[in-house]
Amino acid sequence: MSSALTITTCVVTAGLLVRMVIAGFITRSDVVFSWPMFSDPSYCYFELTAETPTGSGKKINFWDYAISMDLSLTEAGAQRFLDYLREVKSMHVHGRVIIDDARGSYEMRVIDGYLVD
Amino acid sequence: MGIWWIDAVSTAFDMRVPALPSNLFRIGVAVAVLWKFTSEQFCGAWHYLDEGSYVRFCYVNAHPRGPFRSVTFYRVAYVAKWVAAAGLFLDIGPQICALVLAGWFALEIGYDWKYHTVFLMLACAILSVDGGSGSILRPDRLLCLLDTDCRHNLVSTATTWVWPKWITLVVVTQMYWASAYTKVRLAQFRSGTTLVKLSRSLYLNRPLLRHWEYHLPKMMVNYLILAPADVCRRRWAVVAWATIVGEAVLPIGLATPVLPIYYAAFIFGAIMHTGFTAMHQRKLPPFGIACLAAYLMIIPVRG
Repeated sequence: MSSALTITTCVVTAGLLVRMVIAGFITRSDVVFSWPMFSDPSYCYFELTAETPTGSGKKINFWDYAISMDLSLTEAGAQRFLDYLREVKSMHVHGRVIIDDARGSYEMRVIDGYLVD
Repeated sequence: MGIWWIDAVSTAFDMRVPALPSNLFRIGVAVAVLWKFTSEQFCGAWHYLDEGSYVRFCYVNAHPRGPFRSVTFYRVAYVAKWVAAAGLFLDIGPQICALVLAGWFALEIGYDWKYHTVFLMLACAILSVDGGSGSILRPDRLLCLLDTDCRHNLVSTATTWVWPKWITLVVVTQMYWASAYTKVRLAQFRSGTTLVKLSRSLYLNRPLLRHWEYHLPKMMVNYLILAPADVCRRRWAVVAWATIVGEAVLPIGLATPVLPIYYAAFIFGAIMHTGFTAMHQRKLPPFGIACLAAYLMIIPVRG
């Protein structure tokens, strides 16, 4: 192996090792090398109804829109879903969201697509 | 037997090792990737980033300049990932294919971040610099592989650069130790509360999911989910501590130069990943397969 390749390999390796230590054991929140399994679990349970022109409510199921089971659905994530229904689907949504995270389990009302304490 | 990963460092990675582990790693990662892509294809992955979809809404919010804003680019990349996965499996330009797959996963975590996708990305990045991962297990060597003498000669003479093997050991070790470190710092995880909430979320949401993702055995539901919360927590706490200890000890077993200890660690890791997969049977098999392939990659060898 040429000396240039040896030096490159050693420098890249050292850089990766430093990155792994910082991401895995210090910041623990980076995209790569942090492995934050279960570090900040948060779950949302939606009970949403959209207004329809006929006046009858249409139930909204979050999982019809998501890729797959999401194990880190935060309050911000819940609001993002409501933003989507309001901005893209033009839905007027009401109901409630139960959020279970590090603070415990709490309920928030949904009024016309917005989370309300 | 010396310790290969110490020899690798002491020679500044200017060392060759048998290529069979690399070949097994390539096949294992290719199977994992093909499994993942097939599973996602059946769940409508082709349409994930269509105009008006929720996934697209989240992606554009998080990455206003992301390349997948273009549906055409997403579709081209989607086809490329399938071609690359097939190429990696069949050993048609495996390094280029691995690089394409690493690039795909780097983009995929932009709209669907999952830690096992990150692991597959790293595995593919490692394969992209491993020139010997296609030297043994390939279709045109099939006749040779079926012949005992030819196979023995091929396996005993084929070698590859040690660095991909070394960095695989480091990635596997870092993943398990960082994960164990995070878990052991979390009182919620140690007490079993996290796993109680996780299992209940899986149980409550399962009937609402659009596609089949997992099945929870009745015994598990009765024993670990529907039992009183305190009882469930105590039971899950045992699992939580077993996971922490397992993740902390496993890399040591895999890095040992003593083959029986390595094999014991391999079996222990396989059991642990089977346990993880039991919680989510659709999403986690590719991760388990890729991890086992990584274990094969780091089997003790003579440098």
